[in-house]
Amino acid sequence: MKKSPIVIIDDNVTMLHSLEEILSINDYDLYLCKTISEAKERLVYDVPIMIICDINLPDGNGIDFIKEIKTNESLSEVPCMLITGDLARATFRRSMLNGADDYITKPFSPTEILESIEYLIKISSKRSRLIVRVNEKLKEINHINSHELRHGVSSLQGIMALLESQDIDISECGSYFTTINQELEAGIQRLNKLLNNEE
Amino acid sequence: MIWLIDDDHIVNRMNSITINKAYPDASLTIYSSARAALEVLSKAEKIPDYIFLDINMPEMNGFEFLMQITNRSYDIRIIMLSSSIDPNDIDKALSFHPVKTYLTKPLLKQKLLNLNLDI
Repeated sequence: MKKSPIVIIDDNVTMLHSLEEILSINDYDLYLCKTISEAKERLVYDVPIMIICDINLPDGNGIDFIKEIKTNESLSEVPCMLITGDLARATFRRSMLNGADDYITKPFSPTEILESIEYLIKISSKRSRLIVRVNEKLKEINHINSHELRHGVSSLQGIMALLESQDIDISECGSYFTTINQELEAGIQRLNKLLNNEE
Repeated sequence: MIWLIDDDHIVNRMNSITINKAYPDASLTIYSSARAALEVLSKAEKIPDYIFLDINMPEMNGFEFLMQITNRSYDIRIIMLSSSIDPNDIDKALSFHPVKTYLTKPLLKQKLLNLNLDI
């Protein structure tokens, strides 16, 4: 299966190749870009496992680019790292406030960058698994709501409407109420189990 | 001719009263299984004008029934009748060509009259 790439954006070719060399150890699939627009072309059809970006780029600012990524629905969960020679605390703060997941200053050691990348990818895949689990639960809750609880409630509403218009006799409804009550009770129990993580 | 396909006998009892009240001239047949209804349909000389179809049923659910109906190109108007308000269920049901409308339970007389069924 094709692996999702790490997208690296830096206009300095030497820096790009040095990152390529460091990351080749871990067999990452890399996509190297010299400009933001080059990266954007790739991001249209591919969600990378990570984005590593310089701040000062020929066609824009890395911090603004990351801010854009974090507000894009399909890319917002992709971890973003900024690599820069800018040591100013204000730039660091602005980067983090705009969504950067890490901020590495040049010069850096291969270990430093590798550890950070591994950590960010690990956290991100953990978060993705969590999102999948939450969505599965929501789907199940939706199913219980739509098909079990609402079914019982709508049956009660139907019977009440027929009683009101005197199209059904109350003597016929006793067993119906028992059945509907059992159905609602079972639905509520399933919902409680699900909410208490018992299944 | 109207068919009602739902596995819940209480719902079937209520809906048959309501349909008879709203459309006294309609001939109504109830199936508690979609598979049984499909078998009858495959041999029937006259197909129903309308089918009220539930989604959540054992053995063959409403969507599986719709798939079979669509594959065999029957000219039937299907009215979905489900307790589900899940947009995924609604969109999926309406994507089948024979499905004309999607109603949520309970089936009330006024809701049924508003359909202006051509019986």
